[in-house]
This record gives sequence, structure tokens and C-alpha cells, in this order.
Amino acid sequence: MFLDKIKNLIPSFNKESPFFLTIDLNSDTLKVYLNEVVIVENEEKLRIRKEYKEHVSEDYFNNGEIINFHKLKEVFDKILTEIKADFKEIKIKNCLVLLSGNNTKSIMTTLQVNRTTNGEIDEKENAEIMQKVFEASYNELSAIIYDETGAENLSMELIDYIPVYISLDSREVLDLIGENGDEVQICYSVFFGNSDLMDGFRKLLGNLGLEVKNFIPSNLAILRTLKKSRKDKIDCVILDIGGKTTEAIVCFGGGVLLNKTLDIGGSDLTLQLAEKLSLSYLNAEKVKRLYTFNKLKEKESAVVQKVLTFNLENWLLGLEELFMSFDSVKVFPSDFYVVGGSCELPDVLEYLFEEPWTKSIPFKSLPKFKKIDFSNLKKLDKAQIQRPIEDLIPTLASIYYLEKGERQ
Amino acid sequence: MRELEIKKSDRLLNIINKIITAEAGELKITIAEDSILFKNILNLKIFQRVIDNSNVITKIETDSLVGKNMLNQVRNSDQDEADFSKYQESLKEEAPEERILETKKESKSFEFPKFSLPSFSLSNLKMLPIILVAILLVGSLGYYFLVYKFTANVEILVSAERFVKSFEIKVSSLNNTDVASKILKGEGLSTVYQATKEISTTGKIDGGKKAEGEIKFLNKTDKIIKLASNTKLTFKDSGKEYNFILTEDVDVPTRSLTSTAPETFVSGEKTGNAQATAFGSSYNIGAGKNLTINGYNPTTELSAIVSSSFEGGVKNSLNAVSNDDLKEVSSQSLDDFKSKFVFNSIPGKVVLANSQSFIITSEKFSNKLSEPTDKISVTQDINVSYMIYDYDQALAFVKASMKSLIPDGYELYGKDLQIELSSLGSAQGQNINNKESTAQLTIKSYKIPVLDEAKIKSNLAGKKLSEVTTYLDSIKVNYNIESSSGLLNLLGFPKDLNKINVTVTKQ
Repeated sequence: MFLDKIKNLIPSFNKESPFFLTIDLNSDTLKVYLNEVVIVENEEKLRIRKEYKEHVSEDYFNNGEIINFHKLKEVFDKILTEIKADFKEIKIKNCLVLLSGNNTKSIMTTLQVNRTTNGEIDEKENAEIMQKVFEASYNELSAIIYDETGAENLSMELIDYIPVYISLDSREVLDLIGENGDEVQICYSVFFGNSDLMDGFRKLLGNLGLEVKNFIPSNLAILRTLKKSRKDKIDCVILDIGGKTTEAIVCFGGGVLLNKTLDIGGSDLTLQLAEKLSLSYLNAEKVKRLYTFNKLKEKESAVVQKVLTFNLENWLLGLEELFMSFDSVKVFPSDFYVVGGSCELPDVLEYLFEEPWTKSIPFKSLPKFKKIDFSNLKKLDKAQIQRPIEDLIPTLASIYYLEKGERQ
Repeated sequence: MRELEIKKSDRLLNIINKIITAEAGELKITIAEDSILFKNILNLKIFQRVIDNSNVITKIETDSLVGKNMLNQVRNSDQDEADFSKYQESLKEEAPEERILETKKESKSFEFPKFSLPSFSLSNLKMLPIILVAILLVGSLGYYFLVYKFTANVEILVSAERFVKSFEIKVSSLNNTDVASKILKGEGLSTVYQATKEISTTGKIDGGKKAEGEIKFLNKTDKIIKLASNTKLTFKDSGKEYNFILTEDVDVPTRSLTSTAPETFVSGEKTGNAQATAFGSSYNIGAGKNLTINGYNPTTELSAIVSSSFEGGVKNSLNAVSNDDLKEVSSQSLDDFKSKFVFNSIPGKVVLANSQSFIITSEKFSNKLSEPTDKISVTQDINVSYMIYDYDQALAFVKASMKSLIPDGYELYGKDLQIELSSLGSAQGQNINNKESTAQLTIKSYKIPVLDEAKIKSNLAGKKLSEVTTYLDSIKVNYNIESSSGLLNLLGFPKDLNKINVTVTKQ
């Protein structure tokens, strides 16, 4: 207590550090972004000072599970050492971790509460109602996961939530506190994370002198951007084509109704290229990038395209099954946003937009495909918008963290 | 039988590719216990779909209990055995070249007929005219049977695919059926029913008897003190307060002067009956105890003393109606009613799924809040409103809409056309009433590609066998090619369309 008082008197103790790290380990590559909060025209903006990427073996980390703690720590340590060498004057403590694909689950839950007490709703009662919503979400999600996997003992930790609507005696209100009425109807989109993985990250990064300030679900970061740039009560489908997974996120009324994941992503295409062309994984990744940017010879390009075409047809087959597995969705919204590192591959979008895979899926009207990119990100420093698309979601997460104001 | 092992490290895409590239025939698949296939049911559904679309007949084995359960969900439990016995039977019954499974993948080998010519010698010259006539005859017959009568037969096998399509329509009692505007005529019905329910009460209240006694008041002033009924009196004991009230009005007379030097007075006295304010034996206080009266100084104004001890105080706990009981009996009554509710069946009409609403229009409880009772019951009037539609009209609606729904190049197959109509729930922000409702219409049937046999014929005429197979592969059908002679490889397909038979077999 006494020490805290002294710290409060010393300005440097209270000074908020403008630097923080964003960590993304949702594929076979660990990505660490060194971010700086800069003031431009009296407004806080995000500037990515440098990004660091390191391939992570499946023997260290696989499917959201830390397999070899010490080896994985060494990979993190290597990157942190590089950061220290590059930016000697900077001390970094805060970091945020991005969770995506199978490591985060979100669900929309509506709860009706008949109040037993009279008078205005105070903070305590409001907290009790919210707690009931979170419990209901957890139970609902547990039932879904049980149906999908047969797993009964789940380790999920509440990360965040978005209010979709709140009403009191059929009257919509922004906040329950201070309101009076008998029947509360409350609808929240609630986000959970894989708590084993989150604990693992806390321990690992804690050992390296970092403090995890936030875990941010990638679907929340994307949805927040769409809510700001398009419409707050947005109805849409978001398709995040990541490294190892393709995540479909169905949104109604500005909240996530449910997200589901297909275990096929961009790195699967790389693996197929490696196998068919007898290359190492890293070389196959290089070939894929050269193909993406049309830098291969015509003959080489044709070979790569043949392998990709064969595999993309199978990816679409999986995608069709993924959408058919959303039992609770009767009609899908027709606004379809595509995001993720694997979007860069032209064949992916071509197949997605042009093949008639959506015919057997009930969309409200013909799906309108749109790609999310770096434009319209008001919180991003203007100089940063020319970045590879694979950096987009970590950037959206960083912006969300910045806007939440939890850096201290 | 060939074997395929699916390991823990195999990714889903890798597994799909292994199945797709497997040769036709029987395949035993062994799946590792911790395979990605058992991570979730979706992966297994995809796996099974790929198998269903392939030419392999599979037998699947795994040590994973969870995996076995999941396999049973996506795969008919007898499928392995059934597939295999069917396969074995087909081996016995049919000649190998007649089996579709093999003819699809295997290219037929062709051998030229072997001729043995007679040895030539001068002694045979006498026979030359006969030989020439014989050669001419054999040649003509050969030409007649092998070339002139030569026909090519192509059997195209097309499989019906599941066709499921959903779209939004409006079921309306305000409009007539209009396919173009996606409106189906419906009818709104509304009936009031009565429901009752009784439950045990959960509330508790204190019951028993309040202690009663007599109090003597002593007036120490020169004015009459009037104490009204319900005046509060307090007894303090060990830090606790016990309250009593007067049960009658009491006028306490003034004091009286009994001597002048020195002046002495006798307090004015009056007794009154009092009762404890709460139940319990702790209010049974004995005579002689002092009580205080709010607003009066006991030394100089008015004092009170128990003149006849308080007795009869008893406390016990009673069941009573709580707020929760009122809500619970009301909601249980409605829930019971909903769970047992059966729509009156009207011939030819179907209730629009999810269109029903149950509204309590009035309810009467047997007891009031806080009333002591062991049971509480409610009688409710429940208004049930819902929409119905005519099944034949809905079917006609679907058939009229079909043109725009079925993909180009396909037609419906078979008579198994199912329709499902369901009102859209509030999740999408739709309002449900019994006049008009947005509903999701789902059609389930089978579709089959439409093939133009005449066009296929003309595309095959005069083509080499390799060109024929390339063309048939390009229209994505399974096929079986036969000819009346063995010259198909040599001569290709006849140019004469009459000599090409194309039959389409729907499966």
C-alpha cells in the first residue's frame, strides 16, 4: 500500500508504455508484432514497428496444444532476443495473444429474467444477470461441443462478450443499471477460449518476463471492425481462411451466433505441394508465394495450379459440409466476408466465388463475397496500410486492444 | 484386399486425397485412435462423403471407442458388413467385365484375331480359283459382320444426388398464393383453452400465538394520561427488545396528594391488557417487569409494570405462498399445457411449424401472496394462435417454383418430394403472428443430370475410342462401352448415328 502511494507520486511509474506485442500462434508459424501507440493529430494510432516470424514444429505445438513447453519457449525466446537487439532502448512487458480457429468458441445466448425484487436495477443485480447469461452460454456451448466431439469435460474460459440487445418489459435499453421493470430480456454474444492453452501461454510468456494483458478471439476482432466500418447490427458470414483451419463465423444483429471450424487451411495446401513436388515444407511455402505473386515460369505455374486445383475442390467439399453442420441456422446472411492469410492465393478466392458450392446451402439471397483488407482502419497509422494480408487479423486484434484501453 | 492406414499425423486433406486416389475395389481402412477424424463429427462426415463418392468399398477399423461411436453416427453400423457381402455376391454373380466398378476404371485390352494362312506351294495352284473365291467369301462375310453390321453401344450411368433447397416465403392469411411474390395462402387460427396446475408452496411464515398479559400504568403527573389502543410498550432484557401493544384504550388518572408537609403523592394507577407484537415464548415475561412507553419519562411522568404475567406465546413455522410460487405455478401450468398440446387435425391442412404462440390471457390463483397454505393452484386461460396451410397448395407452390430452384442441367428424379415449412423464429428478428409469417420452405428430393442422348451420339460419331472416353469423362458421367465386334479400338466409333446406341441408366 505504502509502496503504491510512492509509485503514484513518481510520474515514470504511471507512464503508460506505448509498446506492446501481439502474438499469433494459430498456424505453424509464430508471428510476433512489435506495436507502438503513436499520437497523430491528437488521436492514438497503431504503428507496427516490426514483425517477427518463426516456423514452429508440430512436435512443439499442434492443434492448440503445447506439446513441448521448453522447445516452444526457446522459439519465443529467440524472437524476443531479436527484438531486444533491434530495439535496445525499448522495454516491453505487455502482450496480447490472438486466439482463432479451434481455440476459441463463441455463441449467442438469449436469457429472460423475471425479477423478484422491485426498484431500479443496481450494479450487483446487473452483475448477477450477466453471470446467468455467461452460465447459460457455457452450458449451451458445452452441449454443442459434446454433440460434435463427444467431449464432456471442457476447459473453456470466458474471454469477452458483445451485447446484442437488452430489453426491459419489451423496451430496449442500452444498460440495465438504473432501469426499472419486471421482465429482462438479454442477448449476448459470448466468447470463450481454450483455457488449457491460455494457461500455457500465461506461464510461458510469464517465464519470459511478459504479462498477457488480453486474449483476443480473432472472430471478435474481425466482427468489431465490420461493426465499425459497415453497420453495428450487421448480419453476415465471415470466413477466416487460416493456416490450419477455415473458420466460418455466422453473425446476426451485430453478434456472433456461432462459429465452427474446418480442419483444412492454407498450410494443408503447402503440405500437398511439398508432397507432390517432393519439396521441403519451407521450400513448398516459397513456391506457393512465388505462384501467388505470379513469379513462376509458365510451366512451373501450371504444375502448381494443377495440385492446388485438385485440393481446392476437396476444400470446397469440406466447406459445404461445414456450413451444413450449422443446425441452428435456418437461413445464412448473404453478405459474405473473406479474411485470413490464405486469401492471398488467387485460386482460393476464384474457387470460393465462382464454384457453385453454395447452391446446396440456404442463403437469404445469392451470396455477395467481399474481402476485408487494411483500408478503412482509422486507428492504423496511414503508413502501415501496405502490409501482407496475413498481418490483417493480428492488426485488427491490436486495434481492438488499443480501443479497449487496457494497456495499463 | 488393399489396406490404408490413417495415422495421427495425417491431416484431413491428406486423408481425403488418399481415398480419392485409391483404386476401385475393396479397401480396409485402419484409423489411429487419436486421428484428426475423431476430433469432431464434421471431419468424419467429410470422410464418409468422400468414401460415398468414390469407387471403393470400405471396411473401417479403429481401436478408439469415441471413434467407433462417431463412426456409428455417420455410417450405418452394418455398412461395413453389408458393403462387403454385396461386393462378394457381385463377384460370384457377374462376370468381371460386367461389373461397373471395374469397367469404370480399367481400360480393356484388345487383341487382334489370329489367322493361320495355309502354306503356299505350286501344287496348290490348281486350287487357286477355289482359294480366291473362298477368300472373297470370307472377306465379304467378315466385312458384313465386322464392319457393315458393326454397332457401338454406350451405357451411361447417372446417379441421383440429394437435392435440398431452402428459401424464404411468406405464409399469409391476407393474400392469395402467388408464386412470383413467394406468398403461400395460409389461415390463422386462434382458440382459448383452460389449464390448471397445483404445486407445493415453498414460502415460510411465522405462525403460532402471541403472548397476552396485563400492565399496570402509574401516572406521576397532575394530568390524566390517555393511552390509545396499539400504544407500543417495550421490555428490554440482555440487550434485546420485546415489543407489546395495548389492546384497549387506557386513561391513567392523575397522582393524588397524600400529605402536604412534606408533599407526598400517590401515582394514579390503571391497568390495561396488552399483547406481544410477535409470536414466540420469549414474550412470556413474568409479573413485576418494567416496560417503557415511548415519549414518557418513567421517573417523572408515566411508568408501566407487568401486573399479570404474559403467557401463551408460542412460535412455529408455516408453509405459505411466496412470490416465486406464484411465478412457478404459472410457468409450470403453461409449460405443461404446451408439452401436452395437440393441434386439432384438419384434413388436408398442416400446421405451420413454429408459428404457434401461447399467451396467458387471464389467470387466477387459489391463494394470495404470503397466505399460509401447503398447496397453491392456478387456473389459466391460454390463447393459442397458429397458422395452417393446405398441403396440396404448398406442393403445387413448390412445383411451380421448381424451375428457378433446380440447377441448370438437372431435373428432379423420382416421386420422393418432401416439403417442410417452418416459421422463422425470433433469432432473425421476425415477428410471428397468426395473420402472416415469414417461413422457411425446405424441399428435399433427388436431382439427376439431364442428358441429351442425340447430342451425345453426334459427339461420339466417327471418334476414336480415346476421344470418346475423353468426351464422356468431360461430361462427368460413369459409362460402359461395348461393341458388336472387337474392332472398336481399330475402327473407332461408326460415323452412322444409327449404329451408335446410347442408353442412359438412372440410379
